[in-house]
Amino acid sequence: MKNIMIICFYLSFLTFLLLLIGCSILKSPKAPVVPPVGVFTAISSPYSGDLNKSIGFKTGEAQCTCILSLFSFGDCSVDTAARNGNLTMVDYIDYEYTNVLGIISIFRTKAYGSASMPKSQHKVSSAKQED
Amino acid sequence: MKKLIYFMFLTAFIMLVCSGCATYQSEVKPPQGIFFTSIKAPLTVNFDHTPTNAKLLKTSYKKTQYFQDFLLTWMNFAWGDINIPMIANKAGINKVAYADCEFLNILNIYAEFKVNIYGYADEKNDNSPEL
Repeated sequence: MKNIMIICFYLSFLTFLLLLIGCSILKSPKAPVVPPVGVFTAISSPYSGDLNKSIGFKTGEAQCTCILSLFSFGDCSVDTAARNGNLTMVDYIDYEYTNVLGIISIFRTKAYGSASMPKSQHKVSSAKQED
Repeated sequence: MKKLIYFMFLTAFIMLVCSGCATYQSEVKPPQGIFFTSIKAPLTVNFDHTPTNAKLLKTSYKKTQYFQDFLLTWMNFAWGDINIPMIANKAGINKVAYADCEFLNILNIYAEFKVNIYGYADEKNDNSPEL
């Protein structure tokens, strides 16, 4: 009887702890668009639905990593993604999220764009050359 | 048994305190660690032919800070100013292209939130492209 009490106590304590840490093992990343996520997750989702534009085919990626929901580090900014993909213009961004049992979570920003210069810059550059 | 109960409640209390307010709210938030977080993430998500080339000026000298006095009062303090127009003006950026943020959190005792702004100094004879 005493053992059962101790087990019950442990279980309630663990539940309490799980509530306190905000269930961060199953916690999804925050973004404007987040599909349902689970214990095993491998999703790709857009940041925004604004698609009334042309999108370049070149891509660049940057990622943040979270280990055991305890330590989180990395650089998943658009600037780094653009640099990694040698993009000079970004037209659109989305993200990939991978989670394995809360042991490791990877959040990856993907930038889509092109390496060409904008038209206005071409014009100005050519105007400068003429001078 | 008594020692064990004391230990468990002490742990629960520390978890309760540590799971507090040392986080940030943003449109994009990658998974964060409970003990340590050092991430860089996008702050703006709408990109449309946004230039990301090396001619962009970058500024990030302002940040907000958070500190929790865990020894005496358990009170938390936060201060700082990340007013984007002010930062851009001081750095000479007239056209802000995009922004990202850096977040550092150490054991929920000390946290820093920094905004990086990327843009152009829009002078009349400058060859910066239209954003």
